[in-house]
Amino acid sequence: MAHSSRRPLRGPLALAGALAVLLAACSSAGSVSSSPSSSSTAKPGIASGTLTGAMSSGAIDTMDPNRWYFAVTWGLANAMCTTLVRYADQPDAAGTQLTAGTASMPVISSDGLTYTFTLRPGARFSNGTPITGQDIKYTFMRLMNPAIDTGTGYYFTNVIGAPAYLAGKSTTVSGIVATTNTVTFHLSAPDGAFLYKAALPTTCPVPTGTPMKSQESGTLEMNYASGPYKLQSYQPGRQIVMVFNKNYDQALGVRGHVAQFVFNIGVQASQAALEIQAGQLDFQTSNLATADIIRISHDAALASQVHQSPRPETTYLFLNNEVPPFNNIDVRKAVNYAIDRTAIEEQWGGPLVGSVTSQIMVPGALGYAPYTAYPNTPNLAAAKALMKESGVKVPLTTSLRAQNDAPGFINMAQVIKANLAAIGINVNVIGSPNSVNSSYISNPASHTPMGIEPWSLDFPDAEALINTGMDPATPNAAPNLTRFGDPAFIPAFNAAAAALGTKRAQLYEALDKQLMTQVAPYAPIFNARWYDFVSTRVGGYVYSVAMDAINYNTLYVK
Amino acid sequence: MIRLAGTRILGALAQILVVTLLAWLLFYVIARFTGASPAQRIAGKTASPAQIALVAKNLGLNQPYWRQYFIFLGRLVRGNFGFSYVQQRPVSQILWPALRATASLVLGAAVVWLSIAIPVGSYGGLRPRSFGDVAGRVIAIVGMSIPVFWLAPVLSYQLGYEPTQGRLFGLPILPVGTQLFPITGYVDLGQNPVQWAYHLILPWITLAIGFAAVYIRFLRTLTAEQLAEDYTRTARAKGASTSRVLIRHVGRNVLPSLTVLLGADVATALTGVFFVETVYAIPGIGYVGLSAIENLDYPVITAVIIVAAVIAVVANTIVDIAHMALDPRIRHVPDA
Repeated sequence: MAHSSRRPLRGPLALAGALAVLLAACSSAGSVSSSPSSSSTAKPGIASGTLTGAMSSGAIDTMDPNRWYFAVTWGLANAMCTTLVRYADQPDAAGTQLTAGTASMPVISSDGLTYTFTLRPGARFSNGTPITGQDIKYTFMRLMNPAIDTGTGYYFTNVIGAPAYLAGKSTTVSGIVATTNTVTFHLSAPDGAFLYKAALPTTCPVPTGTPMKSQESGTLEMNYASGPYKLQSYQPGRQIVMVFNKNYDQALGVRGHVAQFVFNIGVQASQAALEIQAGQLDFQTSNLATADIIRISHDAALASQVHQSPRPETTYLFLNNEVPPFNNIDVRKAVNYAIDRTAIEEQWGGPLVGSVTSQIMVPGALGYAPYTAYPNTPNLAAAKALMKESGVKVPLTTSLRAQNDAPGFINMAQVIKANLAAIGINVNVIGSPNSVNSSYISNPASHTPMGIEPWSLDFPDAEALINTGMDPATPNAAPNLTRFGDPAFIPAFNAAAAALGTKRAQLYEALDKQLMTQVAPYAPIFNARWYDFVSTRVGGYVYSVAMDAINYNTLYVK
Repeated sequence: MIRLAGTRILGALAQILVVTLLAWLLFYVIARFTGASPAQRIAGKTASPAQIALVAKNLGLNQPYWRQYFIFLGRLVRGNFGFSYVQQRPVSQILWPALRATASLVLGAAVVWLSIAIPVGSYGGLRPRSFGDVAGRVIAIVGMSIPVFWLAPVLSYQLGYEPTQGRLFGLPILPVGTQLFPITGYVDLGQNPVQWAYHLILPWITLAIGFAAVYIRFLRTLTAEQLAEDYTRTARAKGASTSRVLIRHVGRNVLPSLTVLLGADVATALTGVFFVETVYAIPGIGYVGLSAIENLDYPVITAVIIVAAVIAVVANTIVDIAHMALDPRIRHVPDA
């Protein structure tokens, strides 16, 4: 603790002396907390060296593996957890393919209702304890437990007995049957995305008996990690240290090449970019800030340090299908014709940071086939004609909500306001911090007319966007911001969700087109790109599309 | 003096109670109007209304506001700020380390700004319209005009990043790779005092420049006023040296006013150094408050507000008592 001097005339001398000592002490030293290690002769396949990363202040939502939900913690989960099946450590679309994890690829019954996983003999926790089928069953029950669930329990409602358990009306899930080395899931209806769901980071194995209460100290990742890395220390709000897990079974391929990762928490994205450029930091867990993307992308000397990839994300203008005037299909279509997607995206950073879109599905996910439903620039004639057909009297006034604590959102809202004024819709823009905004618009009772939201897919499949985000059977579900509830679409949603393989992709591609051209539940704007800027010491860079984060398992120190 | 100080302390305790009540009420009124739900935030985006209700129940958010308020007060009296919804640990465990970091920043910066302002301001008062005085005033105007949110990244860039590229203020005069100052980061005093100070030099300077500018002008005016008083002319006539006049005579009369200003500014800075903490990644109160707002962690947000209010009251009390100690005239004011 510093002490203020009440004898200020001595201050300059004392300060000058202290500065001299400090500068001398630090002339050759780096920062204790923020400098990467200089030992860097590691090669792929050998866990050695240290890489230092930076995280923003709110990057860690929780340290309970069955509660992880933010992209940054999913990145950590990918390093410290091995789920029943996991995503391949590959870039782009290849990284959305599933492979054996704690278990071999499952045996699926011909009716698609039973999935049997056999645990691999080498599957064990970082303390050396074998992972059993009972542990897996307990893990799934824990993540679905109302005291733990952060929303991913919803994905397992097809498992027999899960709905009652999720509602707190049962103490077990009868549809999960475990032996020492197998675990079998019995479903009440076919689920074409079940394997993706079994790879969700919240299914990270924990030992039987782990308290059904959130564990935030990091103890679980220290003793019961199941990935190539385990947690060494965790100082909330300050630092995370992750080290190589010597008990990880490398039988299916070598994963993890760095001895230690140090994450400094609370570093602003632009400051982190400067530190990377200065060689004091190796990477950051946030997407590069738009200004840095533009600055760094135009510097040829830094080209080899910049990596970009399409994100499994869409940013859209949701229109509340239950609230006038957006309860009218023609008005929603008119909005889609009236908005200037290109100009809106310019407010976000332009083509460098994303691609304009007018369809629901995002690139890289199953169910995506590119098409154009509405123009990128306004077609006011079509928009005005639709407004006339709608019978809605204009001018009218409505409101648009957007977060105001991240750059771009309010600017995009202002462009939309100007666009919609041209068809007689006057918009009041209401900004609030993301925590307040997202909580408010998720509440169906708020009757929010419209707003701008990004949506990241929980797994690379159309179900994670179309069914989760606008299931017509549950218009009041929190993520259904459009409150889309057209019963005519329920069979199509259910059929697509149950289908497998090529048929599944075709059904979702068709559903995407039907939704946008027939009922236009919302107005898609753009699909963002992910940018990473890493130090020259970082080798083996791969962006995990499935986790929306750097894949730490492939990195090595050059 | 002791009686007056005791009365002032009792008054401060009453103020703390009132401020705490108001801060809590204000916060809950605002939270209610925004419609934000921490239960929704914690339950996740796919949570059903039943799950959100269950989380709200577990957090005690389904209780009537008045009951939540009295539960909160009951805990607070026992020094318990509650439990963080997000970090699942006592708020005090989050708050105190943050307070130490912020105190490190602010108190160190106060030393810096006083170290700049006292000699420059005093010199200006002693030699008005001299080159040194004009230069000091220009520096003061510039210092007051520079917003911290601009200065922090600029200093971090110019003195943290640029030297690593071999440049200092754009001039290629350093070897590439020179690390003059860290761009960001914080080290606890107990962990490594030298690194603690090294990591805080730029944040101290950033925070100190604006305050130093104000203090230069303040001290210049006060010093000039005191130097024009009869007692200083008498002291000079008796042969006292300039330094003796400044320290023994002028200093004693300037000090009480300086203390009042310093106390208020330190209190303001302790609760308002958000930008500096953000840019330099110092895990202080501002950073904790920001994280809590990002996660709707109500107990932490409330605790930060209360701590800020308590700091303001305590600082004012200390200033008042110090003022009494330093200026006998205050002690003798009836009903003071």
